[in-house]
Amino acid sequence: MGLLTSLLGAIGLAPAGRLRAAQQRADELKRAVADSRADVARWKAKANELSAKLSDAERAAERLPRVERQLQQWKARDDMHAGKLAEVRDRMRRAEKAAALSQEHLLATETKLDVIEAALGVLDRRTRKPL
Amino acid sequence: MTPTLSIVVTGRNDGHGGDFNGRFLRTAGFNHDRLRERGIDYELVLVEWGPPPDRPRLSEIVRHSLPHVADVLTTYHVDERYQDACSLNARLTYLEFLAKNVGIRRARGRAILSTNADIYLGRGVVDALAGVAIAPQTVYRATRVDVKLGADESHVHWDLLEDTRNQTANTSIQPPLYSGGSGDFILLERDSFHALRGFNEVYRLTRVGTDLNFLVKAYSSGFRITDIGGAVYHTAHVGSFRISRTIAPDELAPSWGKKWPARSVIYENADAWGLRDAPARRLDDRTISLDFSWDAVPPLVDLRRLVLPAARVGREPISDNE
Repeated sequence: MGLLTSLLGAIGLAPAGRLRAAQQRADELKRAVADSRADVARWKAKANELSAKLSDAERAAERLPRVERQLQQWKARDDMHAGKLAEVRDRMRRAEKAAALSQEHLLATETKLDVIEAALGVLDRRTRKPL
Repeated sequence: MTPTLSIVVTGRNDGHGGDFNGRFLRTAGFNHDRLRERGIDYELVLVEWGPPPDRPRLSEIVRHSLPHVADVLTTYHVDERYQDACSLNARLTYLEFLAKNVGIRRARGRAILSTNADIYLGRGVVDALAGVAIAPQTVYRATRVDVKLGADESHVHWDLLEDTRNQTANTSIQPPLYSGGSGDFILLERDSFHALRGFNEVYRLTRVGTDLNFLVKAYSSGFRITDIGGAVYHTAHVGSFRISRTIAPDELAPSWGKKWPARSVIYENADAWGLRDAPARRLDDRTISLDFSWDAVPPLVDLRRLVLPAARVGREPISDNE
């Protein structure tokens, strides 16, 4: 068997079994190469994706100080509005109190006017009586 | 000896409401018996405000008809000229609260009940008067229940008054003021009543709301107002405020005076409130005549004595709806 193989080898031939094994091995290697290519393509896509994300993040990072400044401005404006609102509320409370007090004083004044008017009526009657 | 209680009422023999004397005698006799049954030592202070000169005095009628009540009766005859001199409303014929102040000022009891001459004291009220120590700076109020005209008043007893079939209206009283029929029951310890200087003598234009005004003043002065826990009974009659308001509202203003902001404006009577300076002339042991003197008449106008009530920390505000 060894001699025959050697002879076939000398003329560039190989036994059929060895040929089949070699072909099988070649097929396996081809599949491995194809898988590797697919992997490479996937990793490449992922790398591209990450790269895009990185770019986005870098752009966002560049915008961050500006956003923070805006945020601070809005917060300051909000604080100012809250302060103004509290002030307006306080003014309204004082205005309501003043209105209530004015109403009370108005009632008291009307009551006093009633007394004055009545007293004038009494004096008028007393003056007329002796005449 | 100082009585436990002075009951201050005002009236005169003028036939007010049809049978004033009858109503007064019935309630005076009834209340006397009930108070005596509970052992309550009291005096009845009757202020006859401008009694008609041509008729017997009410106090004489009481002495004649209820000699046992006469023993506790002290009467003040107030010269009729005080009505015209003090009134700021010519159409008012009876300054009821000024008259009550005359009695409140001179009452001797440790506690003073200001009420009306046609009020029956209820069972719960008499029990409370017998059992409750009257606290200072506290106004005691009672629910006023109206009993029917025509209810048999010749033999009145508590069962009759408490029978809801005889009752026509019930003036429930609610915090903080417990107002409603206030003129029928205002009870205070004497010094406290005097500290408040009685009812409003500055705004003398009306009889409406003067009792409520007193409660506002007491509340504003930090006094406690509470329900004594019983009822008093009022016999409705022609000329009573409730009936006048119902059947002749147009006639109400002339005879009672117009409504005024009694919840919003209070008063500070002068030191001489209750006609302090009226010359007193003793007619007998139990009858005093208060003669006329301009010195006793409060000024027509005393505007600084009309003031706004104070709010008190932790106290419910006075509602217009009460």
